[in-house]
Amino acid sequence: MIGDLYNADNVVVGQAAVLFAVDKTPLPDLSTWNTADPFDLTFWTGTPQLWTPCGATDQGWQAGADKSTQSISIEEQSTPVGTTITSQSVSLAGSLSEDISKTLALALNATLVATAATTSEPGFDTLTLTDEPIRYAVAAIMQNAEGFGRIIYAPSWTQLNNASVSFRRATDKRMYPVQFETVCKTSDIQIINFTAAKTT
Amino acid sequence: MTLDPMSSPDTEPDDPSTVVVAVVSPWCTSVIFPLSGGDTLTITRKGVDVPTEDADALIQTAAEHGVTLAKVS
Repeated sequence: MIGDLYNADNVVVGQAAVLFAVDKTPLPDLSTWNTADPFDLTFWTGTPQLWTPCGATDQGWQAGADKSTQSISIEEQSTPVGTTITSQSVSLAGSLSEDISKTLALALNATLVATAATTSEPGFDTLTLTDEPIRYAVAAIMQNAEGFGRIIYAPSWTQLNNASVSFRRATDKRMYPVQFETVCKTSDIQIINFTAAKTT
Repeated sequence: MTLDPMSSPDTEPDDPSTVVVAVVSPWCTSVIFPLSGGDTLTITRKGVDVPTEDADALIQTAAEHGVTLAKVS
């Protein structure tokens, strides 16, 4: 019967979260991954804490791997004899919904200098937009079918999405669209799918 | 630890009574702390020597601004 050909338990619904760090930051030691809770922040908060969550979004995250291909054809037949991948864009996109300096820096490709407050001066952040693409290490985490979690990781990404932010009185929140795109070797892009808890 | 490869951290303090503190938040390049007398202390991703007894207070102040500093030596 057809029910023998699939496993409905493998159908997964659920959110993802994205964290980022300075360019080329490696993943934390996988031995500390909490298979009981893939969203456990303690995995990412070692000493020092190198990874930071991107924060709340409007409609979650969208992962993509868009490929451009080239068919290799010969005159003697109508079907291709091969296909090559001419380019590939691996991306993570979302609309950040926390209206804070971190979000602005990410969304606008800006550097940030924080000045601490004193008794006579308020504290403030100075964001400076730059034409130099800022690179980040980025990881997306999510539940998987086994329930132990999954990480999508690459060491170098840029965020150069077009920014368009609405400032409304009451209709909607401010949102800052971002789209991380990998700028590293294809083989540096990894998906780690945890399949079992530690043995006892 | 890994920081911006364009600015490798100074991991050896010049003075044993100091500790190297660096910015590790990926969106922030530096934190400026005003000092008495009008001077400022700027902590960067590369790391800056600060007196050991001041390090925790600076890290706490930066955290109040949402920026993570860390002792890197």
